[in-house]
Amino acid sequence: QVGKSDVMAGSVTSSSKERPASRTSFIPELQSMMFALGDTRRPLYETAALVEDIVHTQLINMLHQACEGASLRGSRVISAEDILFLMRRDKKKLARVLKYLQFRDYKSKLLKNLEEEDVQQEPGGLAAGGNQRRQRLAQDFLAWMDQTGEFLSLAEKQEVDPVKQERMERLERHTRNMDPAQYAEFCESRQLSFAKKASKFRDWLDCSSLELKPNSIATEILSYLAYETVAQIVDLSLLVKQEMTVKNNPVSHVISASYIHYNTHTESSPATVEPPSGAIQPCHIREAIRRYNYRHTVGTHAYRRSGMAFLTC
Amino acid sequence: MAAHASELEIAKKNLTNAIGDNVKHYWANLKLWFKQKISKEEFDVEARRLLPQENVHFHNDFLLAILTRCQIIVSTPEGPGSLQWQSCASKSDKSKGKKKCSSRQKFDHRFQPQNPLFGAQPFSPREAGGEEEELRLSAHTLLLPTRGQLEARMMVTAFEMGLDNVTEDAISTVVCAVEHHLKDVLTAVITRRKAYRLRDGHFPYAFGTDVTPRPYLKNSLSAYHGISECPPPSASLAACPPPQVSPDDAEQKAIHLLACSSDTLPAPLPPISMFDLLEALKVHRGVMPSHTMYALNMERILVQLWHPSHEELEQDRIHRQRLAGKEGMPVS
Repeated sequence: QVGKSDVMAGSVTSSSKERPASRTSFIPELQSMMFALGDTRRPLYETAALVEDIVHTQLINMLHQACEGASLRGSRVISAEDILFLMRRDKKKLARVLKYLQFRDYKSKLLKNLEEEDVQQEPGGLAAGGNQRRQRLAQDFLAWMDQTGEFLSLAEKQEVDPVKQERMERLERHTRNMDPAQYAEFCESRQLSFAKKASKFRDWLDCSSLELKPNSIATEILSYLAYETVAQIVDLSLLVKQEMTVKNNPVSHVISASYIHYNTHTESSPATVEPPSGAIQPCHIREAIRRYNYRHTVGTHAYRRSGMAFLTC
Repeated sequence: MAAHASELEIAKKNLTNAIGDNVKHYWANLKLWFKQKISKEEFDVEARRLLPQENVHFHNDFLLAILTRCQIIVSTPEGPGSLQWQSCASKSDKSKGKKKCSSRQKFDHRFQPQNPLFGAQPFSPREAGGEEEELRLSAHTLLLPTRGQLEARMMVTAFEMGLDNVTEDAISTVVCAVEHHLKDVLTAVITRRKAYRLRDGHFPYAFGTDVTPRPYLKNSLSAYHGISECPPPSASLAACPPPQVSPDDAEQKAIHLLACSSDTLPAPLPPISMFDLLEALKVHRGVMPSHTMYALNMERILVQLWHPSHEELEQDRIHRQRLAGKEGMPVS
């Protein structure tokens, strides 16, 4: 069987065999993350290994491209600007990164306030100050890059996200049925992300083959992008898995095409679709990646840069 | 497995030492034999010519080592597999991508009940050459190549290039790669025939959904927008769970969508034909970027699509009549 084979070749591949055995591995964390994102209670080990491979390859490829951008700029480190530059094509993803940066700023501001025990400043206000550096960095860069005004508008959207609101409500409904132990477990796995283990993440990433190294903000963004990649992989693999089941009537066809069925759900499945059985397997992930790259391969000119499309850029 | 690998290397080393300079001829002949361009007997004759008299057994040892390593000689070929070969040899045109059965033939020593019609083929596990050769080419069985077949094929090429061995990882990668490539070709054909949706601008899914609400009708406009905007992304900031709809909601929305789509379904399409394949490869040239592969396959497709005209059939009939007349046989 296909145990430790390489995933689709990119310009740089990382096989689990090439890296020494003592190397850090995120496989157990990945298993919890996949559970929180919609896989079964215990995701398969080889699935998590494959996901780790894919995420690592994608991040290294992104870093290589960002490194080229940074050296063009004449900078000595890879900074947030280089990564934002890579993401310029997809506005939705860029908007989400900006939101994430806002969130991190807010969090560091809160922590600073807690340390200083400064009672005068309201925790809710986002007053401009020295502690908004990430946001200002991003905004300065976007202003520089922007020619049609489309990027600047991304940063200004402050309205309540209706989708997020809906999700919060559903989560509340879903967790009503859980007992305390299940709930604790679920919360644990939801909170887990690459950002929580920053030093391990940096070791795992292993930027030794790059000429320029990323700075701390860039590494933060990369850990966020790593989580996004895992989420995207789980989504796409679940879609592939659900398409593999036999559907008898047109209604279940439409349901299967419109909604992704996540496994974390304890309610009964949508009426006419078969309940998902078993965890995500490596073959689903491979098929998902193949399909994601399909338009990239078909449309690739012989002289264009080869390698896989980025899942989060 | 490791024991086999080292046996193979020893056998290969003995062989190359015995042959000396003409090793390239030997590899060329090996390749021809694998592609079934020459038979085993001719290969043996060539080997006898290249090797000095007392070292001919190296040739046999080497072949034995390859076949053992690839587990081709040890196994009994499955009954249905060989039956299929018999029937496929008589049929002329089947597009290559159509039959994609699972390639994992089980190599246990099971007793397979044989169809009495094909009882003339004796299956003995210890018989070298013969049956295994017949089953070697994927183009005959129309199944994905088994791991053993791929391994043998890769080794032939590796030896030709002067390399020593092929690792297990490489074989696994090629197994994946073959499947990946065929699926890409199939996706190219299917995306030209059926509708599909695109998620995130990159990921095609829901092939064959005939449900598209008509956007120019007022009551269907919301349903149309619901489809064309991709479903909300699952995880933005780390604390967000995946969204989930209740089954009733999902069913209701699905029925609404079905109601808003047009009342005439498109006519069912005929099965994928060579014309579809030809067109897909022409339009999506990037599916087979290598020019050698592309040109070769396009030629094969065009040859398959050829059909004799009425004049040619008439000429053929006349020719047969003449031949029959010469031999004094009754006209067919």
